Parts: sequence; C-alpha cells; structure tokens
Amino acid sequence: MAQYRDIKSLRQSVESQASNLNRLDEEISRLKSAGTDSNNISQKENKLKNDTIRYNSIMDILNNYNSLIEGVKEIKELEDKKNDSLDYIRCFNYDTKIIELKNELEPLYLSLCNNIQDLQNNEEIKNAITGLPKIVKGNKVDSSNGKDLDFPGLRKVLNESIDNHAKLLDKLNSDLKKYEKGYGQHSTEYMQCKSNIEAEKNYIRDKETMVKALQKHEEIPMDSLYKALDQEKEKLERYKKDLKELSKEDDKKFRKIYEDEIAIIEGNIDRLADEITDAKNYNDAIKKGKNIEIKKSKASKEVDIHMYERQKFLNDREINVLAQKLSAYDYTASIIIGSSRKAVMPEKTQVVNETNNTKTVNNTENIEDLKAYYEELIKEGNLVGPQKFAGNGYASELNAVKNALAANGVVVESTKVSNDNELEEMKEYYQKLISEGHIIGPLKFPGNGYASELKGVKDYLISHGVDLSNDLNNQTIPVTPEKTSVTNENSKLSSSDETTEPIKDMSDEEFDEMMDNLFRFDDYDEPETIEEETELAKGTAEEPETIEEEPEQEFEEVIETKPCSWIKAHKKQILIGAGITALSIATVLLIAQVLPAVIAALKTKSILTITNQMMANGAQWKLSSAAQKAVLHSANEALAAGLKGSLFNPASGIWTIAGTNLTDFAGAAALKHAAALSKLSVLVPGVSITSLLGSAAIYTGKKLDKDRSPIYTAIDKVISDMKKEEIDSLAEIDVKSEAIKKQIDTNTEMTKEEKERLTYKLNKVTKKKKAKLEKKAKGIDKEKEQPNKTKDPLLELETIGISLDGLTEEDKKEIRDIINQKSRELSEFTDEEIEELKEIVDKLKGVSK
Amino acid sequence: MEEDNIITLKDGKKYLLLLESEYTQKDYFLAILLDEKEELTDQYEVLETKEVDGKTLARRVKDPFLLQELISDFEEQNKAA
Repeated sequence: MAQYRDIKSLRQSVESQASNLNRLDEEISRLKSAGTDSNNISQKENKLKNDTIRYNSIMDILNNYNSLIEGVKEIKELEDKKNDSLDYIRCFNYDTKIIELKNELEPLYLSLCNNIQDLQNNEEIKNAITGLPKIVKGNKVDSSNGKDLDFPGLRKVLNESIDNHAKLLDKLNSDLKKYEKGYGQHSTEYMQCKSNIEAEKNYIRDKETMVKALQKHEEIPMDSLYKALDQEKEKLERYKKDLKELSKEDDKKFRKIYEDEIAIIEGNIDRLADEITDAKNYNDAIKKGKNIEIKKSKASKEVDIHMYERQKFLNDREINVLAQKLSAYDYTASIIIGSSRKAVMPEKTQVVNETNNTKTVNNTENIEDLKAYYEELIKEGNLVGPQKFAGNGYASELNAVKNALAANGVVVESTKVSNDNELEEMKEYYQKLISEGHIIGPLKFPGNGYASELKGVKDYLISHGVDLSNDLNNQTIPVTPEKTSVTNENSKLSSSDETTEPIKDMSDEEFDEMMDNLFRFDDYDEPETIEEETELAKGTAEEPETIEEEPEQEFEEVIETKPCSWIKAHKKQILIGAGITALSIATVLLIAQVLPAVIAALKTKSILTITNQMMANGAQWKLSSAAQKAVLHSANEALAAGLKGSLFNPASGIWTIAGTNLTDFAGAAALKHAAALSKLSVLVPGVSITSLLGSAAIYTGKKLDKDRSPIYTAIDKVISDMKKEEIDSLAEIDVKSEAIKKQIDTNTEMTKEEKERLTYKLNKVTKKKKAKLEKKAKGIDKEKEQPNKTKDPLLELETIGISLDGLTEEDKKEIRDIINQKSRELSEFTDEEIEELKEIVDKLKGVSK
Repeated sequence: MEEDNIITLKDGKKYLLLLESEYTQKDYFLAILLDEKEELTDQYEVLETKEVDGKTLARRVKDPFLLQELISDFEEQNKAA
C-alpha cells in the first residue's frame, strides 16, 4: 500500500478515490439503464468492487489517524485533569487511564507512521504517545522510555498526613515514658498507650505503603479501606438502633449527638465507598482488566467512637454510657479522643481518659452528676475493688468516681467497702464471679476485665485472712503470675473432666473472654521460648469429631492437545504476569481466610507443635509473623503490608485474620475443631482436609525461608536453556544431560529437595528433547505437518496457482494486507475468496503494466 | 504436554498452557482458560498433570498453600525470561 506524504495527501487520495467510485457507480447505473452488454457491466462492477476494497483500506488509515488524534486529545485532557486534581486516588486513575490509552494507541501510531510519512515528525503526537511509561508486563511499569509519573497533590496530602501522625506518635512515645514512670509497665495506661503507638505506627505504615504503591504503580491495598467501610457501616447500624432505643430522658440529651454522629458516619461511608470504587478501578486497571473479587473481611466486632468534636458535648460518663451500650451488643468499643485510641473492655466500661477525667471532675458543674453516678453505681450493687486494680470494671470505676469526688473535697460516706460487712460482701462477690464462670488468666496484665478482678478480689480476701481453699473449685486457676498462658491453658484443658462446669458448657462469649485474657502479652519483643511440649501439643486434647472429608478434585482426562501458534511472546509475557498477580491475590486472600481454621485444626490434631507454641508465648507471635510472611511471600509488597495490620496486632498480641479472631479458632481447638474443619472444607472446596493440613503444616511451620541456593538457580537456568536449545542428535542430548546430572549429584551446597527437583526437571527435559528429535527423525514433526502461520502468505499464493510475477513491492504488500486481514490461513479461504484474490492480483498486474 | 499447548479436558474446558513447573515430582502448569472460540478469558488456573496408562490427566490445583509455592516458582521463571 502506498505511503502518503502527510495527512493532507491521504485525505486528497480518499476524496479522489471516493469520487472515482461515485463515477463508476453512476456509469454502471447508466449502462444498466441503457441495456448495455452484461459483460461490460460485469467488468465495471468488478472494477467497482476492487476499487472499493482499495478505498476501504485507505479509509481505514484515515479512520485510524482520526482515532489517534482523538486519543491524543483525550490524553491531554486527562493530564490536565490530573494536574488539577488534589485527590491522590483520582491521580492514580488518571495516570492509569493515560497509560492504557497510550498502550492502546502506540501500535496504531507505529502502524500509521508506515502509512503517513510526516507523522513521525509530529512532535506533539509523538510526545503524547511515547512520553509516558507503559505497562509492559503484569502490573510492572517500565519507565525506561519515560519519565517518572508525577502526582500533584498526592504527596502533599500523604506527607501531611504522615507528618501529623508522626507528631502524634512522638507525643504518645513521650506519654509512654510518663506512664511507665508513673504507673509502671503493667498499668492499663501504659498498655493502652503502647497500643495507641502501634495503631499510629500501623496508620503511618499504611500511608507509606500508599506512597510506595504510588511510586511503583502497584496495587493499592484494599483491606484497610474495606475494613474501615465495614466499621462505619456497623457503627451506623448501631447508632441508628441506639437512637431508636433511647429512653425519653436520654433522648433529650443524646438525640442531637447521635444524629450528628450518624450524619458524620454517613458522610464517611460515602467517602469510603468512593475511595473503594476508585481504588478498585485503579487496581483493576493495574491488573490489566483481570477481575479479582476482593472479598470483604468478616464484619469486625470493633467499634470506634470518634470523639474528635464530641468532647465539648460528652463528659467521660456519657462516653462510658455509649461504650456500655455498644458493649451490650458484644462490641469491643474503642473511644478515640483526638487521634488517641482508648480501648474499652467489652464487658465493662472504664474511666476513659485520665486527663479528661480530671477535667470533668474539676468542673464543679459535674460534681453533682458524679455524685449521682456514684450513687447509681452503689445502687446497682457494685463494689469498690482493690485499689491495686484501679481501672477494672465497675468496681474500680466506682473507686475512681469515689476518688474523683474525694479530690474535689466531696467525701462519700456510704460506700459498701467501708461498711462492716466488707469481707462478707467481697466473699459474695468472689462467689458471684466464680459462679459466672470467670477464671483467673495470666497476671501480667492486671487490668483486663473480670479475670484479674477475680484475682484481685481473691488476693484481697486472702490478705484479710479468709481461707478460700474450700471455695476454690476447679474453675479457678492457680495464680502463677510468672508463668505464661501455656500453663493456664494446659491446666484448664487437663482438668476439664474434673470441673463441675465443664469447659464444653462455656458459652462462646465466655470462652472468647478467657482466650482474650490468655493471649495477651506485654513483652512480645523479648519472647520467652517454651521448649517443653505441652499436654495439648502431645495430643491430649479432646479427640476430634469425625469429619467427612471432601474428596480431592478428580483428575480429568486431557482429550486433546494441540500447539497454539497464535500466542506471541510479548502477549504471553503479559498473560503470565497478569496470571501470577491474579492468582497471588486470590491465593493470599484464600489463605487469609483459611489460616485460622487450618491452625485450629492443626492444633487440635497436634500435627504441628508450632501452632501451640504460637499461641502460647511471645516467641510464637514472632514465629507467626514469619509464617505470615511465608504465606504472603508471593504477593506484592503493598498487598502484604496492607494485610499485615489486619493479621497481627502486636499491641494486643491478637491475631485477626480476615476479620476473625484467631483465638476463636485456635484457642477453642478442642471444642471447635469440627466446626473449624467444616469451615475449611467450605472455604476450599475440592481439597481434602488432610492434604490442606499437610501443606499448611509444611508452609506455616517449616518453609519459612524458601530461598533457593545460588547453585540451584544456576543449574535450573542451565536446564531451562537446554529446553530451549536446538540439539540435533540424541547423543548430544545425552552428553549434556549427563554433564548437568553430574553437577547436581556432586554438589554439596544444595539440599536434598533441591537436588531431587533439579533431577526431575532434567529428566523431563531430556525425555522431551529426545522424543521431539525422534519424531523429527521420523518425519512426523508437527511443525512440518501443520502450515506455519508466520510463513509469508504470498509464498503460498504461488502454490495455489496465483503468480505474483510482475507485481511491485507495494502491490505485494497490499495483497499481503488483504490476506492478513482475514486472519486465517490461505488454505482456509473459500473458493470465492481465492477467486477474488486472483482478480485483485490480475487487476494490480494490469495497473502495474 | 508442554507450554504453548492448548489442551481440552473431558469436561470440555480448554486451557492455554503458559508456564510449566515441577514440584515434588509432579508437573504443574500455569494456564489460562479459553472460551468456546478459544479466545482468552480472564480466568487463570494452575493445573496438575500426570500420565497414567498412556493417557494424560489434569486437575485444577485448589490448595492455596501449594498454589502459593507454585506461583512463586512461576514468578521466578517469569523474571528470568
């Protein structure tokens, strides 16, 4: 096909061709109406047909040019929008669209450069098309031919956010030192502050991940966004429900606050939904259009009460009322004042904030409120717990209120603690706690709910000479503060058949509470190592129920195998990249879902000691983190970082995987084994539980470091090269194979597994090479059997009797284009098509002559 | 069976084999599902294959832990390519 000097000459050609066609068409009509010889008409019609083909191909060029111009225009518009946008997600999306457009337009541009000479000199178009980095494989960006992407506004937003939180982190670190000095490392204040620090670190890490994703054009981690949305939705639901259920008195006081809060939450939900849509679009684009369903995490049972603007409306007590309401629904409420998080125990409220509390108490207007609240607490039958455990539940809340009043000169006489029946009351309270099924958990963290309260009450009674030996039923665990929870857990399980209330009868709630207490660690940085295998690890836990395993997916017969000739190397590369990304994400999400169940199942079956230890002390937390890394090793860094926060919270020492507390599964191994296993089979259909547990055991416990030795990689490469190499004789194959085999066998650096794997690979490649060579020798090489699609179609024209002699190169190119447009082998052309082709060739020959 | 082959399973599903891997003496392929017209879809699978009595058999790998391991190998191969 002829080249055109510029677009102007192309347009002229189109116009001239169009007018020729019109003329010809008119002439045919005239001849027909004049009743001219049909042969003559037929000739004209053929000419019209051929000229139309030519005209259409020129029109295609023109249309392509117009599309290119439209695309360039669109790129410019997107760049303008990007430059005006302050929203980083939108910046991502604009850039992604620009890159996609560029990738789409580039081949068109290059092809048009062959048709229109001066196009490659058009700097404006050239820059628009080639001036940006392009996605070359998977989600990787090749910036070799482009400058780094710029995201106006984004860095500003992120950096500001990071700076602000870094400042807050500094403040929290300084607070932590104060709390350590003032209250000690085991104080609630200290622990909560430490938890706040971790939360801030996670927040900063998230933002930094986003910056990183931005720089690398990787996917934006979605988990935190989904989690935030889930939380907001839950909050909204609760707040609405609470609003409906407010008493008349509360309604007057709280309605506006609730309504304001609901409006804020609804706004947050809208914003988050937008963010998620944008991020998802961006990620989808990054994944080159591969749709991966990212499942929402299981609804969290955490609720944040944002108090940024609410402090002026709510005093501490009111905050506590809110928290209480939430806890009544079994929510773990967190109160956020400013950006500082304060955990509220699910079963109780607590005095929220030392500073705020003091402020409130100092405000004389609140003294009356506080007194009334104090009376209310007394009326409810609450007791002042031991001072040592200030901050625990109602008892210490009452104590705190009492102290607060005393600090303001209000002496409250009517405390039950000070009456003569104090000890009796304490005993009653002790029995009450026992009868409610509470046990004493590890005492490293006095301050956690009933468990330590029970311990406090017990100590108090013992210190007052009360003999509790007869009262100590088997539900109370001997207090051994220096021991880890392994001891407690172990004691619990090993004594379960002696208990008057077997653990089996414990409610889930109680069990979770117990587990929460069991699995809190203050010193996860300096973990202890438990070498001794626990009873549980030895398999003394309750025998698992029989579970019907889902059979592994059956093999199916491959009924046809054929070579694929149309896949091009570049396209294949993209497909592989996209496939790996797609499968990685799906797999990580699946693992995140099944891991708790796997661990629970493993634990109960005592397959792996690691799982027991993991839940037993700080060393296992460390190990868990490594296992988690192993699980996530294939996912990209951004995704891993995004999941990390949700997998393991070092501050609380609790795993939350896919929104599910690990303790729900692992801790309840003996009781919930069956449920965990059945969940596994639901989550991973088509895989036998045994197989899943087996591989989980391998990957969670052993294969933490899966880096291959350098020699393995080197030999692996040699085998791959051999696979691609053209070897002409069987003997040569043997020689090469033997040489590699020797290298493998004599090497001392590789592991046995590595050697086995390489040997297997080598044998396979050798076998295949030989088979191929033998086939070739027999003359039944498939390549010979099948027409090679990449062969020049013009060569084949000769074989079907169409001679190309006398055609110019330009004419040949035109014929080649016509054949290629059909996207089929010449042998697959119909007779009519062949005839047409013949006519065109003849026609061109005539023109050339 | 080798890379760049299109295979048809008994259930009618067609896959284009993109990359091969071996693990614990078993053969696996990263594959992309094709539709009836043998056009690419967006569904990727890892297939385990074996030869029994001269027949080639295949099944989809669903075990996420194994998948993780194989993906890692595919990734390495792709980087090296």
